[in-house]
Amino acid sequence: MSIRATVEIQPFRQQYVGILGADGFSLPVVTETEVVDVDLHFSDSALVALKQSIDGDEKSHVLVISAQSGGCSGFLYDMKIVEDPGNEGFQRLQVDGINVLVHNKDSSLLSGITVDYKDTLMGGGFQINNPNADRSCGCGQSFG
Amino acid sequence: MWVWAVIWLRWYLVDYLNLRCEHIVRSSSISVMKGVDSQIVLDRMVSTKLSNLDNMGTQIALFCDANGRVEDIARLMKIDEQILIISSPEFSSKIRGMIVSGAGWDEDCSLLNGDDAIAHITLVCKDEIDPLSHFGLVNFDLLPDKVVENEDVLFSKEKIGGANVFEILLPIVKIDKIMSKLNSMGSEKIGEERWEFLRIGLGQSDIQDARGNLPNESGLGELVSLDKGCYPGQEIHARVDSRGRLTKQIVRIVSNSPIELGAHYVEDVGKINLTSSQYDGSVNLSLGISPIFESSKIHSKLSNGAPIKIEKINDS
Repeated sequence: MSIRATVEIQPFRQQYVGILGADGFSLPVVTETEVVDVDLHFSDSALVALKQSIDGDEKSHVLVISAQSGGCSGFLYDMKIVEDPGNEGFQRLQVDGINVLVHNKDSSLLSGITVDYKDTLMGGGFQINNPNADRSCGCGQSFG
Repeated sequence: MWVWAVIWLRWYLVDYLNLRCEHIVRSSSISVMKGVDSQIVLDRMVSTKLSNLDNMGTQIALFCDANGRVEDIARLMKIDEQILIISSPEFSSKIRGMIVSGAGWDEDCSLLNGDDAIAHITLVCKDEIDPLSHFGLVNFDLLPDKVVENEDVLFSKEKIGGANVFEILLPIVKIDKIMSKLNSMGSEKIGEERWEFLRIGLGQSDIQDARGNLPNESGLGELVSLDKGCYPGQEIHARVDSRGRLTKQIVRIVSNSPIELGAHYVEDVGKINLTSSQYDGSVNLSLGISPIFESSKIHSKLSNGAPIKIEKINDS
């Protein structure tokens, strides 16, 4: 069984300023990122594993799924259970009582992913299947 | 015996290039990364291991695509928590985009565009000349993996082919002052054509020689780390190292007449793809990607009969 969780926001193009201060000698580097409605799927086994991981902290903690540069194929998945950072810059989804956050800058890369969990000694743990990826590496942690 | 041969070759090369001290203002792209996570973010993106890049350190890093092919070569300089990235101008917007969009939501990393703020000068000097003394750094032994800062001007030094190559970074507002100092110490300002001739003569491959090739083919194999973990192109580099057999290498070609860039058929060697070529009026120097051959030097000729000498410039 898959649970589909969606939040409604208006798609828009937003500028992200990757610079905090310039000391008056440089211009900030700006990159445009497309922001879309995030749509995530979790398998039954992923939900069970997620509940075990966050056990008892559902109100104060959230799962953040993000993408970072790197890995064999260009981007790396990252999943963290952290104290709720608030809504600024994030899209928040309720998945079986657990708050799942995806940052707007990662929304176009991660929307549509299915989070699965494999209980095996080698290569086990959370796995992500991403329909947006043109390629992924052997370990499954990187996509491009 | 071979030590004397190497020393002779270096003297020969520098003598042949008629080099004393020459400098060029480069059109490099300069970016500045700030924040405690900058090095971690950058390390994920390059094929070179950056964990040894210390404060006031410098190293060259390769950006490769997912197929392991070189996209850009960047010199990095670390000053406190800032990393200066000196890269090719045509690739800088991609690098900057990758850094800004690739930093995690909880990572402390931001980026400045330094193109209109920082100038880049390359100074090439014969081995026995010490240009740093003219900049207030008397008897200063600058190691190849270090930078030194004096009056807001940064210097790094690398020994290439018997000459010392200095990279000088400075605020643009100071460029007239530094150019005047270089002039007064006897260094000659040169243009792109002379710089290309010098660079090829010294055997320094640049991005036009490397882009689209595997690092080892371009003599840049030392910039690939096979034990740092994943980065774009890592699977290909690991496969080449463990199972592949290198079929190409970078070579320098010396001839008496100009040779155009592109593919040339060379007797006894095969197809050589010339990536850099410069004629100074009497000698043409080129760099190109050639099939592997065993000897360090080959005398051959092009399909039009022009005699050439092919030299390996870097054991990859």
